[in-house]
Amino acid sequence: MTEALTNYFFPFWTLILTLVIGVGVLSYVPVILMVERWGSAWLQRRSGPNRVGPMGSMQPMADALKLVFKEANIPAQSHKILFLLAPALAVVPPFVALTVIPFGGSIHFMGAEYPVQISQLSVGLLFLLGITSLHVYSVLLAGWASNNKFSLMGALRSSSQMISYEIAIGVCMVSLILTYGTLDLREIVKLQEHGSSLPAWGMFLQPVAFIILWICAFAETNRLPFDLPEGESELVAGYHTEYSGLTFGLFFMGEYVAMGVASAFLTTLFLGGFNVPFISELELRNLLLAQNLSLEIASLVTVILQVLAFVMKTGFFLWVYVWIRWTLPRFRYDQLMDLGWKVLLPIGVLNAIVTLGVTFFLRNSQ
Amino acid sequence: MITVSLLQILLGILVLTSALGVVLSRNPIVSAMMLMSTLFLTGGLYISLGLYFIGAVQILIYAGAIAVLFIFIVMLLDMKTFKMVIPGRKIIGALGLVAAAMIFASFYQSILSGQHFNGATSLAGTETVNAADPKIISLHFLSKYMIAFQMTGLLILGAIMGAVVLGKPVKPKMAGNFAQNTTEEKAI
Repeated sequence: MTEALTNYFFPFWTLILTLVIGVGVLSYVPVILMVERWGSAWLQRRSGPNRVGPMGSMQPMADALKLVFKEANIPAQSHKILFLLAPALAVVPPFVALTVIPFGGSIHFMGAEYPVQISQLSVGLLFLLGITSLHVYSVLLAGWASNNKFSLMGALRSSSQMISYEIAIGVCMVSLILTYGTLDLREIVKLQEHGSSLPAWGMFLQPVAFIILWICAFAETNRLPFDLPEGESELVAGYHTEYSGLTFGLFFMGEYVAMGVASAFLTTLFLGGFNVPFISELELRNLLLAQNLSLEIASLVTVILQVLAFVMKTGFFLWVYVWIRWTLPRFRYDQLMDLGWKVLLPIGVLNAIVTLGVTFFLRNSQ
Repeated sequence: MITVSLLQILLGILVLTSALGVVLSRNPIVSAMMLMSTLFLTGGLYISLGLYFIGAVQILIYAGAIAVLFIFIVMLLDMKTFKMVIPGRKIIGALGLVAAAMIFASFYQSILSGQHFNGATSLAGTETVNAADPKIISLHFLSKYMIAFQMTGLLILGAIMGAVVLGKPVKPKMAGNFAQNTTEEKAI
């Protein structure tokens, strides 16, 4: 890292990486949209999109065009600035959160290492949590600035839900930090790299925290079965009732990017991040070097394989998002609060205490 | 010697602007949002100084949780109906200005002398590596500042108990409809 920082190309590398990741995430949105539509059609035995393009695959483009050309109506009774600020706040935090996620190992180029991670922050875990907790502002502001009772109800529901589940997340973080002993996401991924054995993954080390965090990821992104903020049978469309055109489109995009970030977060913490299963980074690179490839090419191929592994693991979580959405019904509000406060939080605290004890005895016995 | 980068100057200006916005805006929601932006940008300032841990915690706790509660309560109270009618506003304003100037002067003095604030030396970049490491911070908490740390915990416990006592509905003295109505009114 320090070698790379002094390297002349490093700022350019960060710039290129930011552009590639930004464009990649922007082009991920239509893909997940199509997966969602096809998935819903498949799971519920419906036709699904089949008019625009082959198998309806151009449907997201048609949707985007429609949203661009529709009027973005601003209600006369609304608070104009906050009304327009809310959709922007829905999109910005998930994109900022992407900066600390490690997407792959490092590329060797001209004697320096270039990590596939925009910013290797030493407290990446806390930073990611902090940035994602800002997501609640978009919902709150949208609900209040619309000056609509349905919007306000949706916003109040959503923010109390998000704050409640954040506490369970925080408790799980305690046990995770105790397990890994670091807050650096890249080091957490490195710790899960264990050559040819799977059980180094966080999923096996902290199964309880994994399940709690997975449930909380659904609640934090306001997806079914926790989508009470936009429960259409009671609240029209919840906090974004008054939004139309591109302002609605931004909420829509923000939700899918937040889903992606949550999935990437779970992958990094529990599924070994960018590690290719059954083989460590060094072994993989040595295998490629044995094929008479130069160090630059070998590390590049390794990184490509790692990014592919990362995308596939993240894709698994995204598919489960879609799967659950079209399978489970919505929770009632009191059930949601009971689950958060009376089930997840006590289990999380218990898990943290047990982890503390186990870590203490393991440290002492060494 | 304190070196200041362009980013820090920009962040400082933004912090001051949003801090002024908290005081000057008439709309309580805008005020609360400005408070949130002040806290968030202060976190950014910490990060730009290399104090990653404090910056991340600042964003997580202050901008992410405490400011949300402010906005939540302001929304529930529906404060936009209140009008600002304060007698003798100018005198209070002048007194406030004097107080602010005194606080600013004392901060300025102590930062320049660097005696009361050990943090000032770390701002200069000599101790940044130490202050950024969560392990060293936690070791300090559990050794040198143990009593203060525990006392803060006690204070928070007291505050939580106070909130529970305040939030507890008053027990009705008389049975029947009348008593129920009064308790409901008090709860509201």
